[in-house]
Amino acid sequence: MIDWLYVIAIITIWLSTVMTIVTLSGGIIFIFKHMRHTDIDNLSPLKRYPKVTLVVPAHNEELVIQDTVKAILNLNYPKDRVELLVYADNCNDKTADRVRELMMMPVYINNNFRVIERTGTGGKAGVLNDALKISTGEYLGVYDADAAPEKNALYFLVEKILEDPERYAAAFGRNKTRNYQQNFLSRCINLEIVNTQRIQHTGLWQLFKIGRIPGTNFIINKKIVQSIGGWNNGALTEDTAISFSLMREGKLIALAHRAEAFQQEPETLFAYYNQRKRWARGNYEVILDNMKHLFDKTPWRIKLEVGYYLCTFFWFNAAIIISNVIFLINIGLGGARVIFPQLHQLVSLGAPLSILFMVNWLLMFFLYLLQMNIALASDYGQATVTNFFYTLISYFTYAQLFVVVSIVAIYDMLRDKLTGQKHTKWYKTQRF
Amino acid sequence: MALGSFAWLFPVSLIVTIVFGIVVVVLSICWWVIFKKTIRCFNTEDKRHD
Repeated sequence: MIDWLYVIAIITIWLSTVMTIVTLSGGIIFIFKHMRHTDIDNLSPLKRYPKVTLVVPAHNEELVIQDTVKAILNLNYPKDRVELLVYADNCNDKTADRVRELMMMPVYINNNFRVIERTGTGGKAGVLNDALKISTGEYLGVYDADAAPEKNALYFLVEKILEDPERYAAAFGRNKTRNYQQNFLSRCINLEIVNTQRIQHTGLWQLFKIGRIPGTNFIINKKIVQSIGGWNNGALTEDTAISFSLMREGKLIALAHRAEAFQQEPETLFAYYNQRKRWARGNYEVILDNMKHLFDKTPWRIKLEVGYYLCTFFWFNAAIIISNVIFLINIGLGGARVIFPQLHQLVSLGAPLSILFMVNWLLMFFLYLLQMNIALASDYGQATVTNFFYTLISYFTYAQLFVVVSIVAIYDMLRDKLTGQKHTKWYKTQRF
Repeated sequence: MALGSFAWLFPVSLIVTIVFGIVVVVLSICWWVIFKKTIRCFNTEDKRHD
Protein backbone atom coordinates (compact mmCIF):
# COMPACT_ATOMS: atom_id res chain seq x y z
CA MET A 1 0.00 0.00 0.00
CA ILE A 2 2.72 2.49 1.06
CA ASP A 3 4.78 1.43 -1.98
CA TRP A 4 1.89 2.21 -4.28
CA LEU A 5 1.21 5.55 -2.66
CA TYR A 6 4.88 6.43 -2.98
CA VAL A 7 5.09 5.48 -6.65
CA ILE A 8 1.82 7.30 -7.47
CA ALA A 9 3.16 10.38 -5.65
CA ILE A 10 6.35 10.24 -7.74
CA ILE A 11 4.45 9.90 -11.03
CA THR A 12 2.17 12.77 -9.98
CA ILE A 13 5.14 15.00 -9.23
CA TRP A 14 6.50 14.19 -12.72
CA LEU A 15 3.15 15.18 -14.23
CA SER A 16 3.11 18.45 -12.31
CA THR A 17 6.64 19.09 -13.62
CA VAL A 18 5.43 18.51 -17.18
CA MET A 19 2.65 21.03 -16.56
CA THR A 20 5.19 23.56 -15.27
CA ILE A 21 7.40 23.01 -18.33
CA VAL A 22 4.45 23.49 -20.71
CA THR A 23 3.39 26.77 -19.05
CA LEU A 24 6.99 27.96 -18.83
CA SER A 25 7.51 27.25 -22.55
CA GLY A 26 4.40 29.30 -23.37
CA GLY A 27 5.71 32.10 -21.15
CA ILE A 28 9.10 32.04 -22.91
CA ILE A 29 7.49 32.20 -26.37
CA PHE A 30 5.39 35.15 -25.18
CA ILE A 31 8.46 36.95 -23.78
CA PHE A 32 10.38 36.51 -27.06
CA LYS A 33 7.39 37.71 -29.11
CA HIS A 34 6.86 40.83 -27.02
CA MET A 35 10.40 41.93 -26.44
CA ARG A 36 10.28 44.95 -28.72
CA HIS A 37 10.43 48.32 -27.04
CA THR A 38 7.23 50.35 -26.68
CA ASP A 39 7.73 54.08 -26.70
CA ILE A 40 5.21 54.97 -24.02
CA ASP A 41 5.82 58.69 -24.56
CA ASN A 42 4.51 58.49 -28.14
CA LEU A 43 1.59 56.07 -28.15
CA SER A 44 -0.53 56.07 -31.28
CA PRO A 45 -4.20 57.10 -30.81
CA LEU A 46 -6.75 54.32 -30.37
CA LYS A 47 -9.35 53.52 -33.06
CA ARG A 48 -11.94 54.86 -30.65
CA TYR A 49 -12.18 55.72 -26.99
CA PRO A 50 -15.12 53.84 -25.47
CA LYS A 51 -16.48 55.30 -22.26
CA VAL A 52 -15.18 53.38 -19.23
CA THR A 53 -16.62 53.42 -15.72
CA LEU A 54 -13.85 52.72 -13.24
CA VAL A 55 -14.99 51.31 -9.92
CA VAL A 56 -12.95 51.34 -6.73
CA PRO A 57 -14.48 49.18 -3.98
CA ALA A 58 -13.03 50.41 -0.69
CA HIS A 59 -13.69 49.01 2.78
CA ASN A 60 -11.82 51.03 5.42
CA GLU A 61 -9.08 52.12 3.07
CA GLU A 62 -8.23 55.61 4.35
CA LEU A 63 -4.51 54.81 4.32
CA VAL A 64 -4.24 54.07 0.61
CA ILE A 65 -7.33 55.45 -1.14
CA GLN A 66 -5.93 58.86 -2.08
CA ASP A 67 -2.91 57.44 -3.91
CA THR A 68 -5.13 55.11 -5.91
CA VAL A 69 -7.70 57.78 -6.81
CA LYS A 70 -4.96 60.22 -7.81
CA ALA A 71 -3.36 57.58 -10.05
CA ILE A 72 -6.73 56.88 -11.70
CA LEU A 73 -7.46 60.57 -12.22
CA ASN A 74 -4.07 60.97 -13.89
CA LEU A 75 -4.64 58.14 -16.39
CA ASN A 76 -3.67 58.81 -19.98
CA TYR A 77 -7.24 58.56 -21.33
CA PRO A 78 -9.68 61.33 -22.39
CA LYS A 79 -11.23 62.71 -19.21
CA ASP A 80 -14.72 62.90 -20.74
CA ARG A 81 -14.53 59.15 -21.51
CA VAL A 82 -13.87 58.09 -17.91
CA GLU A 83 -16.32 57.94 -15.04
CA LEU A 84 -14.92 57.09 -11.61
CA LEU A 85 -17.08 55.61 -8.85
CA VAL A 86 -15.42 55.17 -5.46
CA TYR A 87 -17.50 53.01 -3.14
CA ALA A 88 -16.85 53.52 0.57
CA ASP A 89 -18.34 50.15 1.43
CA ASN A 90 -19.50 49.83 5.04
CA CYS A 91 -16.60 52.01 6.18
CA ASN A 92 -16.08 53.14 9.72
CA ASP A 93 -13.00 55.20 8.96
CA LYS A 94 -12.41 58.32 6.84
CA THR A 95 -12.22 56.67 3.41
CA ALA A 96 -15.05 58.80 1.95
CA ASP A 97 -13.62 62.01 3.44
CA ARG A 98 -10.23 61.30 1.94
CA VAL A 99 -11.81 61.05 -1.52
CA ARG A 100 -13.88 64.21 -0.97
CA GLU A 101 -10.66 66.07 -0.12
CA LEU A 102 -9.43 65.22 -3.61
CA MET A 103 -12.71 66.35 -5.18
CA MET A 104 -12.12 69.83 -3.71
CA MET A 105 -8.70 70.15 -5.33
CA PRO A 106 -8.72 72.47 -8.39
CA VAL A 107 -6.58 70.07 -10.41
CA TYR A 108 -9.30 67.40 -10.32
CA ILE A 109 -12.34 69.68 -10.60
CA ASN A 110 -13.00 68.69 -14.23
CA ASN A 111 -12.87 64.94 -13.59
CA ASN A 112 -16.08 62.95 -13.56
CA PHE A 113 -15.94 61.17 -10.23
CA ARG A 114 -17.93 60.66 -7.09
CA VAL A 115 -17.80 58.81 -3.83
CA ILE A 116 -20.71 56.61 -2.78
CA GLU A 117 -21.12 55.58 0.85
CA ARG A 118 -22.60 52.10 0.78
CA THR A 119 -24.12 50.06 3.57
CA GLY A 120 -25.37 47.06 1.59
CA THR A 121 -24.25 43.43 1.72
CA GLY A 122 -22.39 41.21 -0.74
CA GLY A 123 -18.85 42.48 -0.21
CA LYS A 124 -16.85 43.42 -3.29
CA ALA A 125 -19.20 41.53 -5.61
CA GLY A 126 -22.12 43.49 -4.11
CA VAL A 127 -20.30 46.77 -4.84
CA LEU A 128 -19.63 45.74 -8.43
CA ASN A 129 -23.26 44.75 -8.94
CA ASP A 130 -24.37 48.13 -7.57
CA ALA A 131 -21.96 49.88 -9.93
CA LEU A 132 -23.28 47.81 -12.82
CA LYS A 133 -26.72 49.38 -12.29
CA ILE A 134 -25.66 53.03 -12.29
CA SER A 135 -22.56 53.10 -14.50
CA THR A 136 -22.76 54.95 -17.79
CA GLY A 137 -19.69 53.43 -19.43
CA GLU A 138 -19.56 50.84 -22.19
CA TYR A 139 -16.92 49.03 -20.17
CA LEU A 140 -16.55 48.60 -16.43
CA GLY A 141 -13.03 48.74 -14.98
CA VAL A 142 -12.04 47.69 -11.48
CA TYR A 143 -9.18 48.89 -9.32
CA ASP A 144 -8.81 47.74 -5.74
CA ALA A 145 -8.26 50.53 -3.24
CA ASP A 146 -4.58 49.63 -2.92
CA ALA A 147 -3.90 49.26 -6.64
CA ALA A 148 -2.60 52.40 -8.30
CA PRO A 149 -2.55 52.05 -12.10
CA GLU A 150 0.40 53.19 -14.19
CA LYS A 151 -0.69 56.18 -16.32
CA ASN A 152 -1.13 54.17 -19.56
CA ALA A 153 -2.82 51.15 -17.95
CA LEU A 154 -6.32 51.97 -19.18
CA TYR A 155 -5.04 52.84 -22.67
CA PHE A 156 -3.43 49.38 -22.98
CA LEU A 157 -6.50 47.59 -21.58
CA VAL A 158 -8.80 49.31 -24.07
CA GLU A 159 -6.28 48.82 -26.90
CA LYS A 160 -6.29 45.06 -26.22
CA ILE A 161 -10.05 44.68 -26.03
CA LEU A 162 -10.54 46.67 -29.24
CA GLU A 163 -8.40 44.13 -31.12
CA ASP A 164 -11.43 41.83 -31.08
CA PRO A 165 -14.34 43.36 -29.14
CA GLU A 166 -16.73 40.55 -30.05
CA ARG A 167 -14.52 37.79 -28.68
CA TYR A 168 -12.77 39.60 -25.86
CA ALA A 169 -15.27 40.13 -23.05
CA ALA A 170 -12.59 41.49 -20.77
CA ALA A 171 -8.95 42.50 -20.68
CA PHE A 172 -6.67 42.29 -17.70
CA GLY A 173 -3.27 43.73 -16.96
CA ARG A 174 -0.39 43.04 -14.66
CA ASN A 175 -0.07 43.85 -11.01
CA LYS A 176 3.22 44.74 -9.42
CA THR A 177 4.15 44.80 -5.76
CA ARG A 178 4.86 48.34 -4.64
CA ASN A 179 6.01 47.45 -1.10
CA TYR A 180 8.22 44.50 -2.00
CA GLN A 181 11.32 45.85 -0.28
CA GLN A 182 9.66 45.94 3.15
CA ASN A 183 10.67 42.53 4.53
CA PHE A 184 11.36 38.88 3.71
CA LEU A 185 7.66 38.05 3.27
CA SER A 186 6.91 40.94 0.90
CA ARG A 187 10.01 40.07 -1.15
CA CYS A 188 8.85 36.46 -1.48
CA ILE A 189 5.31 37.56 -2.38
CA ASN A 190 6.87 39.81 -5.02
CA LEU A 191 8.70 36.80 -6.52
CA GLU A 192 5.44 34.86 -6.62
CA ILE A 193 3.57 37.77 -8.24
CA VAL A 194 6.29 38.33 -10.85
CA ASN A 195 6.27 34.61 -11.65
CA THR A 196 2.47 34.45 -11.87
CA GLN A 197 2.24 37.53 -14.09
CA ARG A 198 5.26 36.86 -16.30
CA ILE A 199 5.06 33.08 -16.72
CA GLN A 200 1.66 31.66 -15.69
CA HIS A 201 -0.56 34.33 -17.24
CA THR A 202 1.54 34.78 -20.37
CA GLY A 203 2.04 31.04 -20.83
CA LEU A 204 -1.65 30.20 -20.60
CA TRP A 205 -2.57 33.12 -22.87
CA GLN A 206 0.11 32.29 -25.43
CA LEU A 207 -0.71 28.58 -25.65
CA PHE A 208 -4.45 28.38 -24.99
CA LYS A 209 -5.81 31.96 -25.07
CA ILE A 210 -6.89 31.45 -21.48
CA GLY A 211 -6.98 34.44 -19.16
CA ARG A 212 -8.33 34.89 -15.65
CA ILE A 213 -9.73 38.10 -14.29
CA PRO A 214 -7.63 39.21 -11.36
CA GLY A 215 -9.23 41.18 -8.52
CA THR A 216 -7.96 44.45 -9.94
CA ASN A 217 -6.65 46.21 -13.07
CA PHE A 218 -9.12 44.88 -15.61
CA ILE A 219 -11.97 46.13 -17.79
CA ILE A 220 -15.02 44.15 -18.74
CA ASN A 221 -17.82 44.61 -21.26
CA LYS A 222 -20.82 45.86 -19.28
CA LYS A 223 -23.47 44.32 -21.54
CA ILE A 224 -21.87 40.89 -21.32
CA VAL A 225 -21.65 41.08 -17.51
CA GLN A 226 -25.31 42.07 -17.39
CA SER A 227 -26.22 39.20 -19.69
CA ILE A 228 -24.62 36.65 -17.35
CA GLY A 229 -26.33 38.12 -14.29
CA GLY A 230 -23.48 40.16 -12.84
CA TRP A 231 -21.13 39.12 -10.08
CA ASN A 232 -21.82 36.33 -7.64
CA ASN A 233 -22.82 38.25 -4.49
CA GLY A 234 -20.80 37.27 -1.43
CA ALA A 235 -18.34 35.09 -3.36
CA LEU A 236 -14.96 34.84 -1.64
CA THR A 237 -13.21 35.09 -5.00
CA GLU A 238 -15.66 36.90 -7.27
CA ASP A 239 -12.92 37.28 -9.91
CA THR A 240 -12.46 33.52 -10.44
CA ALA A 241 -16.23 33.00 -10.44
CA ILE A 242 -16.85 35.58 -13.17
CA SER A 243 -13.89 34.30 -15.22
CA PHE A 244 -15.59 30.91 -15.40
CA SER A 245 -18.95 32.48 -16.23
CA LEU A 246 -17.42 34.40 -19.16
CA MET A 247 -15.60 31.35 -20.49
CA ARG A 248 -18.77 29.29 -20.26
CA GLU A 249 -20.29 31.87 -22.65
CA GLY A 250 -17.44 31.19 -25.07
CA LYS A 251 -15.83 34.59 -24.45
CA LEU A 252 -12.12 35.26 -23.93
CA ILE A 253 -10.37 37.22 -21.21
CA ALA A 254 -7.45 38.89 -22.95
CA LEU A 255 -4.07 39.61 -21.44
CA ALA A 256 -2.99 43.24 -21.89
CA HIS A 257 0.53 42.73 -20.65
CA ARG A 258 1.56 46.38 -20.79
CA ALA A 259 -1.28 47.56 -18.53
CA GLU A 260 0.34 47.72 -15.12
CA ALA A 261 -0.89 48.58 -11.64
CA PHE A 262 1.05 48.77 -8.41
CA GLN A 263 -0.59 47.14 -5.43
CA GLN A 264 0.24 46.60 -1.81
CA GLU A 265 0.88 43.08 -0.57
CA PRO A 266 0.69 41.73 3.00
CA GLU A 267 3.67 42.50 5.20
CA THR A 268 2.79 40.19 8.09
CA LEU A 269 2.34 36.45 8.17
CA PHE A 270 -1.11 36.88 9.73
CA ALA A 271 -2.35 39.14 6.90
CA TYR A 272 -0.81 36.82 4.31
CA TYR A 273 -2.30 33.69 5.88
CA ASN A 274 -5.84 35.09 6.01
CA GLN A 275 -5.71 36.57 2.51
CA ARG A 276 -4.41 33.36 0.94
CA LYS A 277 -6.77 31.15 2.92
CA ARG A 278 -9.70 33.21 1.63
CA TRP A 279 -8.40 32.98 -1.95
CA ALA A 280 -7.77 29.25 -1.69
CA ARG A 281 -11.16 28.61 -0.11
CA GLY A 282 -12.95 30.76 -2.72
CA ASN A 283 -11.10 29.11 -5.60
CA TYR A 284 -11.87 25.61 -4.31
CA GLU A 285 -15.57 26.42 -4.16
CA VAL A 286 -15.59 27.79 -7.72
CA ILE A 287 -13.67 24.77 -9.03
CA LEU A 288 -15.94 22.27 -7.31
CA ASP A 289 -19.00 24.16 -8.63
CA ASN A 290 -17.58 23.91 -12.15
CA MET A 291 -16.48 20.27 -11.94
CA LYS A 292 -19.70 19.18 -13.62
CA HIS A 293 -18.52 20.98 -16.77
CA LEU A 294 -15.69 18.49 -17.24
CA PHE A 295 -18.14 16.12 -18.87
CA ASP A 296 -20.73 18.36 -20.58
CA LYS A 297 -20.65 20.44 -23.74
CA THR A 298 -19.11 23.62 -22.32
CA PRO A 299 -16.10 25.10 -24.19
CA TRP A 300 -12.83 23.19 -23.90
CA ARG A 301 -11.16 26.09 -22.09
CA ILE A 302 -13.46 25.53 -19.12
CA LYS A 303 -12.51 21.86 -19.01
CA LEU A 304 -8.82 22.73 -19.24
CA GLU A 305 -9.14 25.35 -16.48
CA VAL A 306 -11.10 23.03 -14.19
CA GLY A 307 -8.63 20.21 -14.87
CA TYR A 308 -5.66 22.52 -14.28
CA TYR A 309 -7.04 23.81 -10.99
CA LEU A 310 -8.14 20.35 -9.82
CA CYS A 311 -4.68 18.97 -10.49
CA THR A 312 -2.86 21.89 -8.87
CA PHE A 313 -5.01 22.41 -5.80
CA PHE A 314 -6.00 18.86 -4.95
CA TRP A 315 -4.08 16.11 -6.75
CA PHE A 316 -0.57 17.62 -6.88
CA ASN A 317 -0.89 19.04 -3.40
CA ALA A 318 -1.94 15.65 -2.06
CA ALA A 319 1.07 14.05 -3.78
CA ILE A 320 3.46 16.58 -2.25
CA ILE A 321 1.96 16.02 1.20
CA ILE A 322 2.10 12.22 0.88
CA SER A 323 5.70 12.20 -0.34
CA ASN A 324 6.70 14.70 2.38
CA VAL A 325 5.01 12.63 5.10
CA ILE A 326 6.66 9.41 3.88
CA PHE A 327 10.00 11.20 3.68
CA LEU A 328 9.71 12.55 7.23
CA ILE A 329 8.54 9.20 8.67
CA ASN A 330 11.42 7.49 6.87
CA ILE A 331 13.90 9.94 8.37
CA GLY A 332 12.35 9.38 11.82
CA LEU A 333 12.48 5.61 11.44
CA GLY A 334 16.05 5.84 10.14
CA GLY A 335 17.02 7.73 13.29
CA ALA A 336 15.10 5.32 15.54
CA ARG A 337 16.93 2.35 14.03
CA VAL A 338 20.08 3.47 15.82
CA ILE A 339 18.33 2.48 19.09
CA PHE A 340 15.84 -0.11 17.75
CA PRO A 341 17.62 -1.98 14.91
CA GLN A 342 14.58 -4.23 14.35
CA LEU A 343 12.57 -1.27 12.90
CA HIS A 344 12.13 -1.10 9.11
CA GLN A 345 11.75 2.01 6.98
CA LEU A 346 8.40 2.58 5.22
CA VAL A 347 9.98 2.71 1.79
CA SER A 348 13.58 1.85 1.08
CA LEU A 349 15.01 2.51 -2.33
CA GLY A 350 18.00 0.78 -3.83
CA ALA A 351 21.08 2.94 -4.30
CA PRO A 352 20.62 3.56 -8.08
CA LEU A 353 16.99 4.65 -7.66
CA SER A 354 17.87 6.86 -4.69
CA ILE A 355 20.55 8.62 -6.74
CA LEU A 356 18.16 8.99 -9.67
CA PHE A 357 15.45 10.56 -7.50
CA MET A 358 18.01 12.88 -5.96
CA VAL A 359 18.99 14.00 -9.48
CA ASN A 360 15.26 14.42 -10.22
CA TRP A 361 14.84 16.60 -7.17
CA LEU A 362 17.87 18.71 -8.10
CA LEU A 363 16.48 19.18 -11.61
CA MET A 364 13.12 20.24 -10.17
CA PHE A 365 14.84 22.71 -7.89
CA PHE A 366 16.80 24.02 -10.87
CA LEU A 367 13.57 24.28 -12.88
CA TYR A 368 12.05 26.36 -10.07
CA LEU A 369 15.06 28.68 -10.13
CA LEU A 370 14.89 28.92 -13.92
CA GLN A 371 11.20 29.74 -13.91
CA MET A 372 11.64 32.43 -11.27
CA ASN A 373 14.69 33.96 -12.90
CA ILE A 374 13.22 33.98 -16.40
CA ALA A 375 10.23 35.83 -14.91
CA LEU A 376 12.54 38.25 -13.08
CA ALA A 377 14.69 38.85 -16.18
CA SER A 378 11.63 39.88 -18.18
CA ASP A 379 10.52 42.45 -15.59
CA TYR A 380 12.23 45.82 -15.42
CA GLY A 381 14.53 46.16 -12.40
CA GLN A 382 13.80 42.70 -10.95
CA ALA A 383 16.80 40.70 -12.20
CA THR A 384 19.02 41.52 -9.24
CA VAL A 385 21.48 39.46 -7.22
CA THR A 386 19.32 40.03 -4.11
CA ASN A 387 16.26 38.62 -5.85
CA PHE A 388 18.29 35.63 -7.03
CA PHE A 389 19.18 34.78 -3.43
CA TYR A 390 15.55 35.21 -2.42
CA THR A 391 14.50 32.71 -5.10
CA LEU A 392 16.96 30.21 -3.58
CA ILE A 393 15.66 30.68 -0.05
CA SER A 394 11.97 30.96 -0.96
CA TYR A 395 11.90 27.41 -2.32
CA PHE A 396 12.50 25.99 1.15
CA THR A 397 10.43 28.54 3.06
CA TYR A 398 7.78 30.66 1.36
CA ALA A 399 6.89 28.12 -1.35
CA GLN A 400 6.03 25.57 1.35
CA LEU A 401 3.52 27.94 3.00
CA PHE A 402 1.02 27.25 0.24
CA VAL A 403 0.81 23.61 1.31
CA VAL A 404 -0.18 24.69 4.83
CA VAL A 405 -2.69 27.27 3.56
CA SER A 406 -4.32 24.80 1.18
CA ILE A 407 -4.68 22.11 3.88
CA VAL A 408 -6.37 24.60 6.23
CA ALA A 409 -8.62 25.90 3.43
CA ILE A 410 -9.72 22.35 2.53
CA TYR A 411 -10.38 21.61 6.21
CA ASP A 412 -12.45 24.82 6.53
CA MET A 413 -14.45 24.00 3.43
CA LEU A 414 -15.16 20.41 4.49
CA ARG A 415 -16.11 21.51 8.02
CA ASP A 416 -18.56 24.13 6.67
CA LYS A 417 -20.06 21.62 4.23
CA LEU A 418 -20.50 18.95 6.91
CA THR A 419 -21.93 21.26 9.55
CA GLY A 420 -23.94 23.36 7.07
CA GLN A 421 -22.65 26.53 8.74
CA LYS A 422 -20.16 29.19 7.67
CA HIS A 423 -17.47 29.32 10.33
CA THR A 424 -14.99 31.08 8.08
CA LYS A 425 -14.66 34.78 8.90
CA TRP A 426 -13.83 37.26 6.14
CA TYR A 427 -10.59 39.04 7.02
CA LYS A 428 -9.91 42.33 5.33
CA THR A 429 -6.33 42.46 4.08
CA GLN A 430 -4.43 44.80 6.35
CA ARG A 431 -2.89 47.91 4.74
CA PHE A 432 0.44 49.46 5.69
CA MET B 1 10.10 -2.63 2.57
CA ALA B 2 11.94 -2.47 -0.75
CA LEU B 3 10.23 -1.47 -3.98
CA GLY B 4 10.69 -4.97 -5.36
CA SER B 5 7.43 -5.17 -7.32
CA PHE B 6 8.26 -1.99 -9.24
CA ALA B 7 11.07 -3.25 -11.44
CA TRP B 8 9.92 -0.92 -14.22
CA LEU B 9 10.44 2.13 -12.01
CA PHE B 10 14.19 2.39 -12.57
CA PRO B 11 14.21 2.41 -16.41
CA VAL B 12 11.20 4.76 -16.50
CA SER B 13 12.83 7.06 -13.95
CA LEU B 14 16.07 7.01 -15.95
CA ILE B 15 14.29 8.05 -19.17
CA VAL B 16 12.28 10.75 -17.35
CA THR B 17 15.46 12.10 -15.74
CA ILE B 18 17.36 12.22 -19.06
CA VAL B 19 14.48 13.99 -20.86
CA PHE B 20 14.04 16.30 -17.90
CA GLY B 21 17.76 17.10 -17.92
CA ILE B 22 17.69 17.98 -21.64
CA VAL B 23 14.64 20.24 -21.12
CA VAL B 24 16.35 22.03 -18.24
CA VAL B 25 19.47 22.64 -20.37
CA VAL B 26 17.33 24.10 -23.21
CA LEU B 27 15.40 26.29 -20.74
CA SER B 28 18.69 27.48 -19.23
CA ILE B 29 19.81 28.65 -22.68
CA CYS B 30 16.46 30.46 -23.07
CA TRP B 31 16.99 32.15 -19.70
CA TRP B 32 20.45 33.34 -20.73
CA VAL B 33 19.21 34.72 -24.06
CA ILE B 34 16.26 36.50 -22.38
CA PHE B 35 18.55 37.89 -19.68
CA LYS B 36 21.01 39.27 -22.24
CA LYS B 37 18.30 40.76 -24.46
CA THR B 38 16.23 42.32 -21.67
CA ILE B 39 19.26 43.79 -19.92
CA ARG B 40 20.23 45.48 -23.18
CA CYS B 41 16.65 46.65 -23.74
CA PHE B 42 16.25 47.98 -20.17
CA ASN B 43 19.63 49.74 -20.33
CA THR B 44 18.52 51.47 -23.55
CA GLU B 45 15.34 52.58 -21.78
CA ASP B 46 17.37 53.95 -18.88
CA LYS B 47 19.58 55.98 -21.24
CA ARG B 48 16.49 57.32 -23.02
CA HIS B 49 15.13 58.63 -19.70
CA ASP B 50 18.47 59.97 -18.37
